[in-house]
Amino acid sequence: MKILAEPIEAAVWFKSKEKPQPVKFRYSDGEGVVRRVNVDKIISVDEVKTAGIRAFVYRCQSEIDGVMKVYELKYLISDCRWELYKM
Amino acid sequence: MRIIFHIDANSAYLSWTAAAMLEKGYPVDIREIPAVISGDPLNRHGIILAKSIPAKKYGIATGQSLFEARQKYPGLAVFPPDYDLYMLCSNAMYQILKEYSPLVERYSIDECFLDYTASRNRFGDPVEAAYEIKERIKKELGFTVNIGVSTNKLLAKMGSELKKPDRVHTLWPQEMEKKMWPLPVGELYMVGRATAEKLRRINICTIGDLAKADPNHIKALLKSPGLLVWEFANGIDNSEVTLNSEIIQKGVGNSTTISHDVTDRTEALMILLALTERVAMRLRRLGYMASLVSVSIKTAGFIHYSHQMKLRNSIDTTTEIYEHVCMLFDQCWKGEPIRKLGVHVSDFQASGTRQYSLFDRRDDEKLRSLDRTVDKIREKYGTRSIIRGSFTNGDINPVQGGTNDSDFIMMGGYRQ
Repeated sequence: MKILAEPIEAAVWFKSKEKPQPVKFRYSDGEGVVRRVNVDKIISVDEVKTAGIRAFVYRCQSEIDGVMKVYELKYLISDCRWELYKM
Repeated sequence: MRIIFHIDANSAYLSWTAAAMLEKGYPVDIREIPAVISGDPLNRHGIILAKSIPAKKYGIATGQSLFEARQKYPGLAVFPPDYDLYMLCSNAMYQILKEYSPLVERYSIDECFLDYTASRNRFGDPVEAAYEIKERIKKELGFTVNIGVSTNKLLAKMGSELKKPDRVHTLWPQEMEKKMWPLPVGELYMVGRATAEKLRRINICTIGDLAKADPNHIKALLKSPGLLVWEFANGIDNSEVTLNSEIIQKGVGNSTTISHDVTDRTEALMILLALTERVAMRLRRLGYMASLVSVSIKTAGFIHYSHQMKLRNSIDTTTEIYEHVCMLFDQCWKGEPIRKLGVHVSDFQASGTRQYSLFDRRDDEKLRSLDRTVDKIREKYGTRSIIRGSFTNGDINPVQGGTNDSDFIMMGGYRQ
């Protein structure tokens, strides 16, 4: 997996007591094609503080273009923003 | 016996920028190439604020101009500072340190002192704890630190500066002779370029030479700081690790280097007003009133002079401070082009109780309540949410001084 840190549009389910859960998102891949991805499975969630910037990193798995892919989404807490962090 | 840690982020601005850039997918770790953090040369802020270790090998040093640095290594990678990011990094580091002791002093943005004496019962061996802190900062925050471990602040600080980066050094008093005394005297804390030169003239070249010298002799040479540096050379320092909230501030000041040379009195006064806005706001937030106001000027020819006045009463309103600033400026400015302006206030008295005088301004209470209101608005909606009318449609930033709008603690360490 490579770090992309690409800002994305995401639909998120904010739970009552747990961390927010990404449901689906949209990103443009290297060729400029916009892809829509449903988050099939969240494998793990970690809180990170690299360079003092608080964020949650979600390790997820989805079927993209018929291929099972593992990737990471990042929620930047102070910005209230989602990124496709690694893929 | 006390146990003190000194924690120092390695090339702080640069590694913080590096960590944030890596996180954003930047392909290179700028700590591993000749790189610097520098202000914008177009605004005449082009001095090196931090350098990577590979850049240091080309003789590039903090404080040099960007121009000089590029002559030493033309392919130098240059990045702008991001003070909001640095504040985040510094706060995150402080939060980790606070887990190990309630007594943490933020000495500057990238340095802290930690009193480990009482933490020993909980966290065990100090050196092991220091390694743990160092590794945690590296893993969790993505940058490296040096930690000096000793029995007082001075030795801990000297220890953390031994070999960089990413190391823990002990500098116990018994190790002083081996680890600290062979170093050049200029490396000692509080010994600057001028002092080092004076000492070299009497054949004191290393810290050891100074330690073994007669303290009276050093005092005669350097006056009262002489005794202090002699004590430091001998590893003597009894100062406590003080929480920043308990440190008593004795003065407030801000200055700014202007992007062009100012020759016009009106423009200079506007810049002084913008500086006064910041200074007065900080003064009121501290809950003090000042009775000494000073203005400093650096000319285009790099000549620096200042002028100050002691007031009969104490003041804290922006308007009153500004009136004195204008008076001082007119008294001392000789008309030469100005590069840098500064405003400073000191001789504090707690605000609250106050001696009224026959010569008080009539609108004193009005000014006070105006300032209180403006401060509140600015706190809630940002510094530039409300500005003086005289700044509208002008090019002058209405509140100047300081690197960002929060209380930014500068690099380099200062005696608080």
